[in-house]
Amino acid sequence: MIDMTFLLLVFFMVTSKLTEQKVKKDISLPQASASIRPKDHSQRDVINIDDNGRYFIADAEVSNDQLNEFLKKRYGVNTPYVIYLRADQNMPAKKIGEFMEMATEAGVDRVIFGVLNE
Amino acid sequence: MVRRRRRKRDETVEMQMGPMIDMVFLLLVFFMVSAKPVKEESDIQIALPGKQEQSEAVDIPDEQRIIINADGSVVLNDMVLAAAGDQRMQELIVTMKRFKEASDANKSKALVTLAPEETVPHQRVVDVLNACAVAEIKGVTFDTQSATGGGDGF
Repeated sequence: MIDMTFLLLVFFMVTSKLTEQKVKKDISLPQASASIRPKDHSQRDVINIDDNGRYFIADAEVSNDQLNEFLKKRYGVNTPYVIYLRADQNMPAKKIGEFMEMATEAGVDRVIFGVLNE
Repeated sequence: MVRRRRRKRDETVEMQMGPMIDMVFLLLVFFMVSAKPVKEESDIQIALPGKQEQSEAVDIPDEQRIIINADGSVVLNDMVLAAAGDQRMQELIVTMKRFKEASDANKSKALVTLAPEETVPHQRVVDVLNACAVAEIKGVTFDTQSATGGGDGF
């Protein structure tokens, strides 16, 4: 029984570590039924936008200029990274337009929207 | 002498399991509780028209322009395809599927341009993206100068 308990303990410790890496900010994501659960989480740049329209790279708040610089530096030629955009469901669409413009300028070719599957 | 040796051996064999099991259970319960409320996130992918791609484009892809009004209604070619509160958007999905089939038949890439008004909440944009995902349309672009509803975002 102690063996099993240890096994469970290790399992939950590992899973809780993994989820910690993924969720950076407390953002209520929008819902979409046709979304796909990804198998591969690697090489994603997490960018969060909260309901006030502030940008966060992972969990560090950045200004528009800083974000612009970050994107330009990282998405030059043949970059393996993709953007994982976690935007709050109540955030105005103007912000998405602004971000998309920035991303396209910087040469990003793929953006993944983070959503919850209902 | 004999007695003393025996006592010593007893001391080394004993190991207190009780407190350790207590602690392990405590940790186990803690991690179980903290692991549970995390909801699994999923993806909606879109491809952006890269700068280089745009300048070198030879084939003109089929393009549809979807406008999302401030009240949440979705308009395509002057036709309201989803009313303000309609979350399932059956009509839009059917139209998008037909559009995708048509462009597949033409062997061109199906492109959708989203032109949401500035104040539309993100959830509504994702609803439309969801409809595109159902129809398997991957090329979605955003019209960033959509406030006036003008057609200058291409």
